[in-house]
Amino acid sequence: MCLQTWGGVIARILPMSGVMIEVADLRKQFGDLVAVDEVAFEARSGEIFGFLGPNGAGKSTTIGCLCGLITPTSGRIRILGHDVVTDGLASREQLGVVPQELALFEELSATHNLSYWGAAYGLRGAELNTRVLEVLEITGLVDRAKEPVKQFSGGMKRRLNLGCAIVHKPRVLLLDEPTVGVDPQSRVRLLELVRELVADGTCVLYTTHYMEEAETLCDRLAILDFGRIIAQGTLPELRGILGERDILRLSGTFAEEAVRHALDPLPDLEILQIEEDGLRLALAGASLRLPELFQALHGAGAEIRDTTVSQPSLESLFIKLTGKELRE
Amino acid sequence: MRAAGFLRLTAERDLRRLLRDPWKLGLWLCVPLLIGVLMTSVMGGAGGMKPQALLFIEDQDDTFLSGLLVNVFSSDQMSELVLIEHLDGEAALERLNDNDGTAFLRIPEGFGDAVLDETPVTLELVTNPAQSILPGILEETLSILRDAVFYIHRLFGPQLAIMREGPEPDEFTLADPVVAALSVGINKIAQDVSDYVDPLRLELTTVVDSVEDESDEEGLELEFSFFMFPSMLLMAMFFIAQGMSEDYWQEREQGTLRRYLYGPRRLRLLLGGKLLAALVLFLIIGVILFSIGYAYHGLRWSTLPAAVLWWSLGGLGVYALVSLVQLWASTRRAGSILTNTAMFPLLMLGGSFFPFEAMPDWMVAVGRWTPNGWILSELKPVLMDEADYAALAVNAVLLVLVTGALCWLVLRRLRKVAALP
Ligand SMILES: Nc1ncnc2c1ncn2[C@@H]1O[C@H](COP(=O)(O)OP(=O)(O)O)[C@@H](O)[C@H]1O
Ligand SMILES: [Mg+2]
Repeated sequence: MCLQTWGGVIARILPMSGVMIEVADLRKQFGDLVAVDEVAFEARSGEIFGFLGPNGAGKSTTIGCLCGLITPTSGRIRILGHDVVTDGLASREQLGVVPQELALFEELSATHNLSYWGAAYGLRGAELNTRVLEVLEITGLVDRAKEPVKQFSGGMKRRLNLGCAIVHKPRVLLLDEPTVGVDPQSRVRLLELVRELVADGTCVLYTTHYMEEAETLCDRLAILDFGRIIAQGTLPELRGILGERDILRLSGTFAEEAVRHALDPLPDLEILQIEEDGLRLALAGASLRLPELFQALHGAGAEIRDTTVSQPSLESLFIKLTGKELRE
Repeated sequence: MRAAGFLRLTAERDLRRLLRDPWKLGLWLCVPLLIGVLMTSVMGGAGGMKPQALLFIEDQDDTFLSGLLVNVFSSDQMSELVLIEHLDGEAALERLNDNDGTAFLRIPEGFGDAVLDETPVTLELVTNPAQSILPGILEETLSILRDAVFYIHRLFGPQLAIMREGPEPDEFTLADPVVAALSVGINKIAQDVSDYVDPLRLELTTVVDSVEDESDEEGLELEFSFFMFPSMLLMAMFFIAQGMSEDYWQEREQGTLRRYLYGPRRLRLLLGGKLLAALVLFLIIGVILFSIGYAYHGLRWSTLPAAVLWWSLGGLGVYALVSLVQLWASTRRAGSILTNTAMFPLLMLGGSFFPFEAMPDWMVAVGRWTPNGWILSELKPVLMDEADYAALAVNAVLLVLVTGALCWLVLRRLRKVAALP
């Protein structure tokens, strides 16, 4: 009784400050494998919080812990003030989850899928019917609402998968790589949908391994590698880690030792990555310094075939932090 | 109250999903029905209709093992149901196209070796889309055989391997010690097996005798088909229970099982919903099947509700049991093998394939302790209107308790299976 009262009080106060998801010191171990370690972040109402990381970084495991599918080894998670371990049911009522794998009744129609899950969250009668229609509308499935789901295309299933998670208007929505294997059109639609939800005050946690998605969609981001958050902040904040510098990408043939030696004396220049066939540098005023650079590299026996200058991107940041590219 | 509503919704949803696949439902009903009709006609009871499938076989392998497979279809019991014609592929497909024939089975070259070496091999069954039920039966038979091959290989593996090698090249026959070993090995197993499945033990005379004694007292006209009737119902019960229990894997594969774990409802409500769906289905099918049987055999209609109720409760218990076996396995395939292996001995022993009246006494004594044997023994007096309803009520309470205990175990396994990545 006491606990419940306090939970209720906290749950009422927290949304005012806007914090919807609170994760502190989260750790999950599978046997010897530490899938998630020292993960801590907060996400607020009306915000898309991104989780960017390569496959196996621990994104799904984190989502699993948030929605009660996986019991954390240690740490604390609260959804609108409800602890997901001790107060699981209450926290799950506030959640909508879009799993990485589809979770749909293939034999049933979109309408039946939606109304079943809507009813699971306590919607009834006219309210349920209106809401199901609404969701069919926003996921663009009205025309095919009566067909069995197994006749849907991959993109349509993805949209319905999202639909099933939002019938009950959750205040917190967890999306686990919802655009993987989705045609470009459905993808645009999905991302639009997420933006609309956030405009209504929903808090979204969005995991992805697509840099562009994270860059264009998310208000704040955590970059994840090997289960740890290696950087966290708004997009400008993260770009700031790289400084006001350009990213110069050279392709050709490079000998690591010689190149390092040749570039070492040049001021204000950072080598982000050297490979046999590519070189990536961070430096201010890159285009003005090209002659100087070419000369140095030429002296090191390098052969240059192509040059690209770009603004700092998340990709460069990821490379700087981990020494590898964010690719599968 | 909200939980009860959700339970009903879940059951409704499961039934609706089932109705989307009416063939499945049809097969569950028709396989036992056909086996029953077949058994009855073999036993010389009320025969009559005999649907017969025409199966074309092309045996490209032509080994001992492929021969064995063909023999299954041409065995005494199957030949009542299946007529075999050896034809090459093209001719067979042409005939199927002309709607002449039920299906075409191709046994590929190397089938025998593949079975012995446990390498993958594909049997190709082309069915005639114009026919609906008979191809389903052939498919079902083949899938049972497929599982059987697995066990036969474990039982007879060494003997089969010797047969494959055949005689040494310079001799006409196998060396004496080999023959001795072979025959001892096979004889022993054959002996063991024949104790259980000797068809001579199913003689009809004993059946008719014992039946007539009782029927005189009852004033009801009972014959072999009457004894086959409850057995068929038990078979149907097992088919339905097994078919429905596969839904756990279905839900797991399509990801919906996991959704419960992060949804706002407890997993036990899902199980409750599934049990409710099963109960409703058993009741509906029960009313239909029993009504047919009651009308056909001229039984007392006043006993129908008790019979349907007891059968449905039993079905629920069997459903819980089969669900547990399904979930005990770690994959859908293992679940299917496990339930099939558990099911067939139970059906054999428990008087569901052959009525108790046609079984040797010792086997009946064992068979009554099987779940289906128990359900059957309590069902028969109801059908014959000589049941002790107080005792039946006690049995029903016992059945519910056992089912409850099974469900508790099912729930524990379900949690594990649902959370598997
Ligand atoms: N149930 C599990 N048992 C063992 N290891 C697991 C399990 N789930 C995930 N892992 C491992 O944990 C790590 C993180 O996985 P995951 O969270 O799925 O990554 P992501 O979603 O970022 O691709 C991977 O190395 C994965 O193999
Ligand atoms: Mg993942």
